[in-house]
Amino acid sequence: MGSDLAARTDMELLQAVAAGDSAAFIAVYDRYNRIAFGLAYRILGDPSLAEEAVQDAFMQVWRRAATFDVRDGANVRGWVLTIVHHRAIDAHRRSQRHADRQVTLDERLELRSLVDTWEVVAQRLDGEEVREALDLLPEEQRRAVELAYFGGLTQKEIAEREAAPLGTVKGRLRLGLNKLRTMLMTDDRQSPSRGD
Amino acid sequence: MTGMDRGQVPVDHRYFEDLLAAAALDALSPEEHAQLVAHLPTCRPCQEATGRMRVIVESLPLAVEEREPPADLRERLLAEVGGDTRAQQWQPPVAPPAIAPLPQVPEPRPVAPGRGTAWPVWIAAAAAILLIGLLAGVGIDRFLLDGDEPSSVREIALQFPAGEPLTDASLSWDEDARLLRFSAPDIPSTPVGQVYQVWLFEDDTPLPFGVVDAGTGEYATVIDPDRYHTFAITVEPGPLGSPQPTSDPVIVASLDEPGGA
Repeated sequence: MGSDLAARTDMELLQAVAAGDSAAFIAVYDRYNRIAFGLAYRILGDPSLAEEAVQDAFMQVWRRAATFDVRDGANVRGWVLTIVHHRAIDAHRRSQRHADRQVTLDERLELRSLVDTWEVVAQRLDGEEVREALDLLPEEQRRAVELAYFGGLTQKEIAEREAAPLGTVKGRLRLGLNKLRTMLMTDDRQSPSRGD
Repeated sequence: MTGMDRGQVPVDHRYFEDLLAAAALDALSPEEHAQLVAHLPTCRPCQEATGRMRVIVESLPLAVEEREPPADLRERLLAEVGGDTRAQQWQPPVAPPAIAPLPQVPEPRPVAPGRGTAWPVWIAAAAAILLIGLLAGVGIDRFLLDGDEPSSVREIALQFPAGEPLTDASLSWDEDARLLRFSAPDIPSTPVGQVYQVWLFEDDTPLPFGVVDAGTGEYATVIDPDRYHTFAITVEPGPLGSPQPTSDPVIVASLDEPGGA
């Protein structure tokens, strides 16, 4: 990555990608390829499938960069990794013969409909903080969140696997995410001194 | 605040609240997802809650162990984008809006369309194309999948009044799931800050039905097929679109068929 590109913010790079700048695109890849591949590998458990998912995902980044919401606080890293997750879960479901559920990925962007006030804070989180927060969740809540996010299971499938009522699983997912938010979005994380 | 169409079991706001965490984790069934997508544009509290859930879910990848991808992946990507021809592809129109937005729109839907616009022309054209197809013996049913058992999924012809047809675009109706699904994986990006918004016409009124997923070019919604006669997509201000169309449609399709959908 050239020093000029390396100094640019995520948003500046993505705007350049949207304008067709392939060097900026590769700079985005250089910035997030390791976590992208780690995420895809965690979901798929196979390096070849993970590589394919990451390649597909970054080509989506290239094609869709202009659609990214450029409002202040929008999280480029989160957007890129959402696409990687999307592709990896897609591949995982195909391998599990759940291709009929791929439509569930289609509305992911709909769920980006409003920028949350903690968006900027979230961009400054690191892996250790998130791992610690997950470890502090009650076991059944952590398992439900991980089965959904990393395992690609629907809430109904989680209920079946856990032999728990659907309403209980819904509650575990909701409580788990809310507790993660409480743990991760504490006031001290609003400090602007926590740089990118 | 109900979230389902006439003729189906009404569900209240609490039902959608219960879906939000699973939705952020992509753990809903297609039907649940479609219901939520149709509900979100009508419900500010759910939009805000969705934003809160999403921020947390977007932090989850940080928990994974980073791994070095194969070295040649970078070169392959660079080779792919170096040969990209997106500038030659179909582009959405960026012409001035053909329909002036109302000065005040108290509710997101329904909203009466503006007058003197190109919309009635395209609605008529969509119906005419369907009629021509039927007269030629190529009605919607010809798209039924081959096989011993008839599929409940029908493909619906699309029109592209604003430019070159998108060869990969499709619109399908799943009778069993009551699911209307649009797919255009290679649909060009909209201008920054704009989105592809879906409209369904009830009589002469275009009703907003959410936006196409910019990441995948996909869209789906659960509807009452007896209620709507035309599907259309316009380019609108993002991220939620407009309460009524502010531009001419780029894609149109007739949802009518003999005997009803």
